[in-house]
Amino acid sequence: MNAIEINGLTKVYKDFELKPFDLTLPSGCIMGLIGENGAGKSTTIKMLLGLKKCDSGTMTILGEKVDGSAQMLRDRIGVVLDNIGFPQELNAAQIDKIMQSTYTKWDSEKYFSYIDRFSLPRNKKFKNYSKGMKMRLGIAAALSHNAELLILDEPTSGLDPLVRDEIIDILNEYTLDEGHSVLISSHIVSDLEKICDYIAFLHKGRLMLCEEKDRLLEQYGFIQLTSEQLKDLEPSAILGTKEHKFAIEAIVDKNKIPQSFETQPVTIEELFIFMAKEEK
Amino acid sequence: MIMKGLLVKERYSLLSGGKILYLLVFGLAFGILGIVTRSTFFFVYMGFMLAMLPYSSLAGDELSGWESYSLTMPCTRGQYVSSKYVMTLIMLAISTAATSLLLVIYCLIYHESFEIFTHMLPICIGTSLAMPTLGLPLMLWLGNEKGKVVLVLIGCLAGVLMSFVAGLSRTATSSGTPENGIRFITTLMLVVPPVLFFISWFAAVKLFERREF
Repeated sequence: MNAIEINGLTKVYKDFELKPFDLTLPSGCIMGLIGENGAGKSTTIKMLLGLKKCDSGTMTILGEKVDGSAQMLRDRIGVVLDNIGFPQELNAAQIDKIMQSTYTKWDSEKYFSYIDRFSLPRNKKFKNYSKGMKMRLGIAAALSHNAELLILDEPTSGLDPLVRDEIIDILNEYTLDEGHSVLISSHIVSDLEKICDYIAFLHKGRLMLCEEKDRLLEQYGFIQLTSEQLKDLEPSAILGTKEHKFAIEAIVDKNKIPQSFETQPVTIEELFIFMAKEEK
Repeated sequence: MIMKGLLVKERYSLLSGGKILYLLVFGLAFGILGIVTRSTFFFVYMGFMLAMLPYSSLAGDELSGWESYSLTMPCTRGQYVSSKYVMTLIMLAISTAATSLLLVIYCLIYHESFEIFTHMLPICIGTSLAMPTLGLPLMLWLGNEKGKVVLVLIGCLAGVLMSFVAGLSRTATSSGTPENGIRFITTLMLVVPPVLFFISWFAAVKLFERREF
């Protein structure tokens, strides 16, 4: 059973369209949903969570179809949105009481162990928390009801490197259990590169690729060449190019270029930038 | 169980900052003013203010993001809406109890007949339910900003309607003793606001189900 299956999902607004795409998150894996601001990442996540309606397509989470009756399915999902929506006047202890009465498998002991681990004050009002503290509290809540799937929308946005690193470590711990899956969206590609098994690129409402991270890094390489050399290459080998005064940089499919070219390792961030620019 | 979580949140929100306490004190102050001035009109304020608390919490929910965050939990949109209406009924029950106490004191001080309960309580309940009945579906459907604008427009319309009702009451009064006018309004308040409140509840659920975040 896959954690998430999306088929032909679309959403049309006046000034933006999420074009039909398919996406599968295998169980026990972490998928990074990468894209620039406005690419459609949050829209996709909100449709998965039922906050927005899709115009067409189907979605399945943990084997269950996502529709209006998916109430108890959300008992199995931990969610962290970019805006942690806890009531401003409440503190961590009161949030525990609310969650106890909401989730069937809420674990107060686990929740408070995360609170202590993150050094969060129990009796301070949520509105007086810093941005990093708010995100950590949101993560603590998402991890404290034995969720099988975590969905995080821009969890590291606006946070300092120390906090971001801490969050990445926590997500790594979470996925040590093979039954746990994670879908995490971000425009900070370097964060996702550290933990993701799968990468999905969204650019201007279009899913450009969805592939295993290791396979992407193995398949694609970075080369420098002249314009004449570029003409000799198969167009399908070239993922994207960047022209400079004296040379051209390109990301290419290593299997489709002559052995004579010396390729260098490429990062996911570079892959995304080149693909997005090529799309323009 | 899930509704309980939402109601626990409502309870915490209403108790935070002493909101309920302040409004109870204000309501009692108006009640005492009513007793001192021998004007039962002031007894209406208690219920009016307390019943508005769940409705006014919607703005806070939207601002904090709780409105959308709660829908990622195992609760339905209908349950979210119902938590507001249930809290309105709870506030109404509290205010009715407090108003009843004020009426008892009023009757004892001025040796009035307890028959006043049959007039005043329906009027207090009916008046208390007015704003939530109108405001909750609008705010849940349109959001805080747009909902308030539409509510002001409806408030103006309501003013016109109330004048019409008052005119009808005068007509009823002129055709008999003043008792007929009071009985007419009392009957109206006993039936119409509760029915409208439950229609509003149903409509609010349907409207909120269509909303996107």
